[in-house]
Amino acid sequence: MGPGGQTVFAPAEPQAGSLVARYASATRAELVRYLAIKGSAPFLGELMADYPGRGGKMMRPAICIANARIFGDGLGEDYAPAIRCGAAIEMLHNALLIHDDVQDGSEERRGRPTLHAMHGVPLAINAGDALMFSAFQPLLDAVRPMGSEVARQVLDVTLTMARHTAEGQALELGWRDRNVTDLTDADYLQMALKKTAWMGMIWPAQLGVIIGSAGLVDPDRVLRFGYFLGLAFQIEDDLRNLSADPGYGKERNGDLREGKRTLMLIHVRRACTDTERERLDGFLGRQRNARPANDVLWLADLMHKLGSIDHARQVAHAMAGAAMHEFAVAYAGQPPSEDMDYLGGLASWVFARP
Amino acid sequence: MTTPEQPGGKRKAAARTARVKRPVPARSGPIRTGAQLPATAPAPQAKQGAPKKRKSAPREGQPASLSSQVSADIQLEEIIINEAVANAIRTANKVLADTVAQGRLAAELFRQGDYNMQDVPVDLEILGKRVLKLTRELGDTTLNILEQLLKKATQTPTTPPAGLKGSVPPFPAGKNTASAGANQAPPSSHAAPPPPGNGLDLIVQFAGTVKARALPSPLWKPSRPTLPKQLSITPMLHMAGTAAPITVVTFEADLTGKLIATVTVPDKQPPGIYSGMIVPDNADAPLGVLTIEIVA
Repeated sequence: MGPGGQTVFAPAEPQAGSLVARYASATRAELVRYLAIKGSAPFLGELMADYPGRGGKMMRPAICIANARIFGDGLGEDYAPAIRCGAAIEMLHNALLIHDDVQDGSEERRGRPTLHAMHGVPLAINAGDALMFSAFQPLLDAVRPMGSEVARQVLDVTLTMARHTAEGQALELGWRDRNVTDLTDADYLQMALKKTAWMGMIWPAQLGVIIGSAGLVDPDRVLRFGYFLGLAFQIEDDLRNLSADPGYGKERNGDLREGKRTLMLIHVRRACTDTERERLDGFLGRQRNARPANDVLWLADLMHKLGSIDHARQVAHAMAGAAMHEFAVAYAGQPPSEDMDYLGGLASWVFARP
Repeated sequence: MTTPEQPGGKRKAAARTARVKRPVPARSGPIRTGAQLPATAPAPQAKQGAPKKRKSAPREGQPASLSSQVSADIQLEEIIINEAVANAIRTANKVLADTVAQGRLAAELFRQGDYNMQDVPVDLEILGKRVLKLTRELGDTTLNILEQLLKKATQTPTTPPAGLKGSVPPFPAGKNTASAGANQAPPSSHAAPPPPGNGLDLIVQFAGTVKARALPSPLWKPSRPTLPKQLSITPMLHMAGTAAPITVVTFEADLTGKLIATVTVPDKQPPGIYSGMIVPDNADAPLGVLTIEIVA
């Protein structure tokens, strides 16, 4: 808690003074405003502001704001509606993280105990619900002055995103809980499209396009760019989990212990011998806590040995290349700008991000 | 007749009998293609001349800030796409196409409900039009009421101020309407001349042998759509009250929208001024007074 009882958010991770840092700072200011209910809502306000206050890359709001400025000729320096959309995106993203942590039984998030670990599952789910619905406030505040057609488009892409995200989450959870092993790369890509790309890249970009152009530009214009970018992001995320540096607050090989269906797991199961597949299926058939540590190491080693890591890395790079191509198509004719540089560099940033 | 063998026919025949390479079906077994390839090296098939070589795609818009790994993968002169990458992109495109198609189908299904977000602007438009119509009607009604009140107020006889002579019209004489004839002011709410745009042009024709002429007086347009046959006239009374009224007047409209009144004057109608009120049968207020003079 900072002076005046306001939430103090973690310092922006992006480089100080950079475009993302400016957008992140503006978005966080809006978040403080919309989440300033800590005192008036016991057991709720503090929990709602917890995850957003732990910092983050702020990539989603930045994608939204950059698109709004690229497609908004008259937006100028006053891009408050786009920032409000950015705040809505962050609130919704953090609401899903709360629920995600409960569903996955995660213990840590961004270097601290998860919300349900600190306050219990019922209060955490309730805070997630509240954060999810509260996200509509900045979204509606952003579109209110823009008329009913813009509002309709915003709700349309938001509902589409919500449906795909839920379907993607259901696929991942269903595969894990029902021990579905007969999966293909296409299954994985579909899951990643729905679970990651739509919420993380496509939707923010679409919101930006709608807000910036006042509903005059088709939001599907940026769909393919967001899709390939999201795939590259997710595959790289999965790869990092198996590396020596799995990322801030994450456990190395945690995805293997969890039995998460990744491109590497699908590949290794396809490439291994019958004997190895039998052992792998036995490993996946166990509960998370019952999976032996030496089997986790064996699986990680097998993935290296059979080229699953290389395969996934190659696919991730291919998706990044496709994203660059789609960027050139979607933003053709736009004049050079900071925002164009940012979006154009996202595909390579996926591999260079901290 | 035998078709002569074309040059290269043997090659084609050999190609036909050569091993046909088909994509390995999904889930049929291990697929190692491309898995062992170093990310920076071209595929072995490409080295052997397998048809996996393509010219570089257009480079416009390609950001210069590629990661080192991606930069290494993509040669500037020529891109060699190995099978793993080609499959990944092909599969990704198919997944997206399928998902978008399913999304459209789902949206179509959801539209079959009673209400859909897509309908919101239509509803808003209808609502807006209704509000505008209601506002317009309320405005018209209010103005009509005010107009009526204003006219009532101006027509109410008042006592002239003391010491003021000749500036206030005299009170009505109170004569019998039937006998007073044209001296009586017509009981019309249109007593005032119509403002510009609200007037109705009247052409008067006469039937019969008696010489007569029309004395122009302004007419109001009907307040609602009215056919000429819906118009009638009160008996045209003789101003002096000594002659029988003229009763046969018919109305029609010419192509320019002017009203034509045809007055049938009996042969032995005495000279003098005659007038009657033109009244539409779908409204109470008369449109005005038709006045003629029969010349001796």
